[in-house]
Amino acid sequence: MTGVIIVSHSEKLAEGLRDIVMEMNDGSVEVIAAGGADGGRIGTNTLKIKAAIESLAKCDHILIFVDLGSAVLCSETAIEMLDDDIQEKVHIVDAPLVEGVVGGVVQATICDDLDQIIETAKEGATLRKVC
Amino acid sequence: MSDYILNKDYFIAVIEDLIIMSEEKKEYFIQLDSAIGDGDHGMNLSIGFREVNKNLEAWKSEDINTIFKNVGTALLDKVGGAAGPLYGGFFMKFGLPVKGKDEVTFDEFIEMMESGVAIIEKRGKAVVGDATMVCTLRPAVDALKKAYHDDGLSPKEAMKMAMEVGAQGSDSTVPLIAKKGRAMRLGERAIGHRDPGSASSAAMLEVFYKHMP
Repeated sequence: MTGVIIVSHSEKLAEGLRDIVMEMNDGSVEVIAAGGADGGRIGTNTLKIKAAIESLAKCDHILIFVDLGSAVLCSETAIEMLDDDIQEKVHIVDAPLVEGVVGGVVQATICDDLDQIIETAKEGATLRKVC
Repeated sequence: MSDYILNKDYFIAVIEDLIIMSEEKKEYFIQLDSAIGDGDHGMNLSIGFREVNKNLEAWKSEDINTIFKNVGTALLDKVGGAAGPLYGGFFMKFGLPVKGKDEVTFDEFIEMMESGVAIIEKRGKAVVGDATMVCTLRPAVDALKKAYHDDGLSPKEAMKMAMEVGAQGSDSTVPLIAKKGRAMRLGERAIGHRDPGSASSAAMLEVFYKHMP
């Protein structure tokens, strides 16, 4: 089973993106929104991300999608704080947030192959919206 | 100088003054960050250290490492930007070299500084010249080591040297193009602006100096 964590500076953005992607999720992928700083301010919160990872500990792999700078820094710090056996399962995916999460979650409902899921999510970077 | 000791009272005085400094310089950090970033650096530090202030009394009976670990965790939780994991990391690692102790030698203090600055460099993947906290902290810690170990300065003089070199390091960010954080996207527009993280780091060094016996 695949777990997905959405890390955005905005709590609303993370939750809104989760709403979008849950329409295409058949229930086989766990998606957690971990956006915003403490108290709902704009920013990212390492401990919130850490708690999200821990709650997905039973998943085979855990993919983190990030929006801007400190979302990466906080995610890396959260991973560092965890035990090795969980750390190994966590991957920060270098993909655009919306396209990456949608592509990654949909692929994760189709297969359980980590490389394929990450590859699909990354393809979001070159997806043409206007042809 | 081997009998020079920094006790827990020193470190508590430093934390208490960091709380005051983060309020006094809040507007200054906000101004700096608004010019080239998202403007939250001053507010973030203030919220972080207010949380420290709320709990400090209860932490005072712990050893130096535990007190700083608590400070770091509070900043990690409350500070919203990159400064959360960076300063959070600094304080969480700061006391590690003196685990269980209630007083430290100046050699140990230098180790503590090195341990804290190293995690900022590692997490931020930043080097001197990137226009970040590291522009202040790395030259300061190197100057601290040299002044005390090689040039034979007293601990207080060595820390003064570190503070001054750190302030110059912060000055050095003004003409730079930022290589990290949101300011990176501004390219040449960041030139002429002081990096806010380098300024808060310099202010912290000042506090460490001010209370040194």
